[in-house]
This record gives sequence, C-alpha cells and structure tokens, in this order.
Amino acid sequence: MSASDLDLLYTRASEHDPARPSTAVRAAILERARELADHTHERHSAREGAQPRAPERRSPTLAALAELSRRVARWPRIRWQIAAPVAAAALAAIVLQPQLRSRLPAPASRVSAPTRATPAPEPFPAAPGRTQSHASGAPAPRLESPSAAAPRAQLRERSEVERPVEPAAPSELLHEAAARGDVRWVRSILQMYNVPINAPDADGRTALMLAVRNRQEAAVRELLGRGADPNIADADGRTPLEVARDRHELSIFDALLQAGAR
Amino acid sequence: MEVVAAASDEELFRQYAAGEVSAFEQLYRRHELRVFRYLLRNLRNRALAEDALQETWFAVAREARRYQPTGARFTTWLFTIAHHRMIDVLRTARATIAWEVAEQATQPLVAAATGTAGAAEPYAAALASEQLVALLRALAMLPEEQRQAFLLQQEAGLSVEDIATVCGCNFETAKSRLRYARSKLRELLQDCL
Repeated sequence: MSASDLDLLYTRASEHDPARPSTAVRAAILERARELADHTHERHSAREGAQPRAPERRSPTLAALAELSRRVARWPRIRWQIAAPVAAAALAAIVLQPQLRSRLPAPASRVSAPTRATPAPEPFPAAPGRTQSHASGAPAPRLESPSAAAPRAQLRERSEVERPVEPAAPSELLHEAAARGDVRWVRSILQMYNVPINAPDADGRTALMLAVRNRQEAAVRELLGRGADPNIADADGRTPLEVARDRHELSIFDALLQAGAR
Repeated sequence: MEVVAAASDEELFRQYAAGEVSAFEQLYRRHELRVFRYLLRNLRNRALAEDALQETWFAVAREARRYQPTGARFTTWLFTIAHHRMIDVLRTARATIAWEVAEQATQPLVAAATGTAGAAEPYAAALASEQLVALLRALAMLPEEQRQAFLLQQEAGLSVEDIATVCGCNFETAKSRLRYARSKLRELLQDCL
C-alpha cells in the first residue's frame, strides 16, 4: 500500500463513519457562542451609543440563564469599578488630611473679619525654619488678628496630638506597590502623585530595585517602561542587575539589560 | 452582514469576533466532524469526546476577540485547543475510566456503518464499513503520540511543522512520529485494498 492509498482509505472510511456529536452538545456550543457575541455587541453598542441589537429568538429559560450568567460574569468588574474610586478617595483623604486641617476656617464668631488682608493660604503648619526666614527678608507673613490666630494654633496642636500615624508618603506607596508587584497600583501612584520614579527608600533602594528583589517581573517591566533608571545601586552598592543575577531571574535580567543596565 | 459561503476560516472568525453569530455557526459546521473525530479516535470514549469537543468550542468562542489572524492558521489554533483539552481529559480519565479495547470501541460502529448504508450501493457500503472498522482497529493499536500525529495530519490537514507546534515537540520528533504511524498503519491495513 502506498502513502496516497493510506490517505485515500482514511478519507473513504471516515466518510462512512457515523460518529456525530449529539445535538445537545451542538446546541450548547452554539448557544454559548451566541451569548458571547451578544455580550460583545452590547459592549460595542454601549461604546458607540447605538441601539442594542434585537435579541434572537430563544426559549425563555435559556434567555434567563444566559442573562444570569452574564450578570454573574460582570460582577467582578463592577465590584472593581466601585472599589477603585472608593480606595482612591480614601487614600487622597489620608494624604491630604494635614493640608485640609490647616485650611479649616476659624469659627466666624471668633474671627474679626476686617483685619484679614491678603488671604494667602498656608498649606502646611509653619515649621520653625520658615519663621526665621520671614525675619530675614522673606515675604511678609499675612496679617492675622490674635483672635483668629489662637484657634488656628489650637487646631494645629490638636491635629498634631490626634494624628496617631503619619500617612505614607507617595514614594513609600510606590515602593510598596512595586515590591508587591501591583502593576496597576504602580501606574496609578505615578500618575496621581507625580512621584519621582527613582526615589530611594531609607536603604537607598528604588522602586525598581524592590521589584527586582521581590521577583516581580511585571512591575519591573512597567517601571523600566516608564523610565526608571536600571543602574541605581542601593546603600550596599548592589545594582538591580546584580540582584536579578543572584536570584537567577533570567527574564528580569534580560529586561534590565535591554533597558541599558550594566 | 452577509456571510459569504467561501469565506476563509480566519475571515469567519474575525466576523464572529465582531459579533456575527452566523459566522461562528458556519465555522463550527465546517470543522465540527473533523475535531470530533480527532477527539473520539484518540479518547475512544464518546462521552469524553463530547465533553472535550464542547470545551474546545467554548474556548474558541471565548478567545475570539484575542485571536490574531496574523499568527497561526485558524485550523492549527483550533486543533491546538482541541489537543490540549484532549490531553487534560486523558489525564483525568485514565485513573477513573476503564480503557475501552479496540474491539469494543469498533463493534457499535460496524452496526452503525452498515445500518446507515444506502440500499443502492450495498457493496460499497459494506466495503466502506469494513475499511472503517479495520482503520479504527489499526488506529487503536498505534502508540498514543503517533496516533495523535497521524490524526492531526488527516483531520486537520496540518503540516509536520504545525503538528510539532500543536503537540509541543520539535520538528524532528513530529516527523518521526508521523513516519512510524504511517508505516505501521500501512502494515496493518495491507489487506484492505
């Protein structure tokens, strides 16, 4: 028997093979394909503002099941859409808390209004050094009546007493996100707070170094893509490339090399 | 959107990714039997083959938006999914389901093939059913990997290179599996012609 005879025999025999998948299997496959197509179409329609396509005829039970599975499938995305803004708002409130407290207006009953001159805001409680600079020719401090200054001083004192934990600086958040490999969070922090991407922590480790140390390849690539310097050594003089090599992280090592690491 | 009958697989799949259900149906009908035969002749268990078929096409529908027509051919991609599903099923089924021997697997087919044959061509039908039984028996006697390579060539029309891609082996291995499979089948089916 030649090679072509074998192919011919296979084709001829298979044509007479009565094996077919059951109609239930076929129906389930086509139904699923239809659901996914409807879902795609809805997303397109929502994006373009078009009218949703009229649903194809199907049994009410199947339609109800399809709708239920669609809703279940959407829930994680919806939950994320709610959770992300809430978390961002909470974080912003924590970070801006001192600034907001210092901006609180003094109670009207205790302020003598006519004495207020230029309403230059003071974003942070005045540090001792700044007071001295005023005395040495810096712009004059704004005028405040003693009665207005008193409650403000009380507020400052209270805020310093009541604040149990200092909010994390944005660079610390960046370091934490990089170490955890949370790429989305790394991206958000860089966009929201304009943090210097190469800012070091107390041990001289940049976000990139922390991502490398924790084998977070996605975070490493994200940081490199956003211009992180791959040659900044930590306090011990170790570069990210050396750390990746010691940890046998070849893909991270390659990514660093491609970004110009030495 | 009007679906042209002669549209390529890739074109149909692109239309489905854009929301055209009829394109998927056409694509499914085009490949249904070939994928099913590939699964059934490897798994030799109808229920398992149907499960794997269903999961394969679910995955195809799910991945439609991510499919890149510039990469592999649709057929290669489809049979890669089917192959992996089949391997998964084999892995889980081996421990729990008794393996059907070739005789048991082919007996119902003999009856079915003879029964579906038209009365106008009794000789051709009988011959075809005889060949089918012989073919199924011969396939069952092949080592698993050789059978997979041969069926990928016959059912999907894949090249040796594509077979290597689907099976996750190198070119030479795929070529050798195919060569051994064909040689063994020729030997086993010597009397069929």
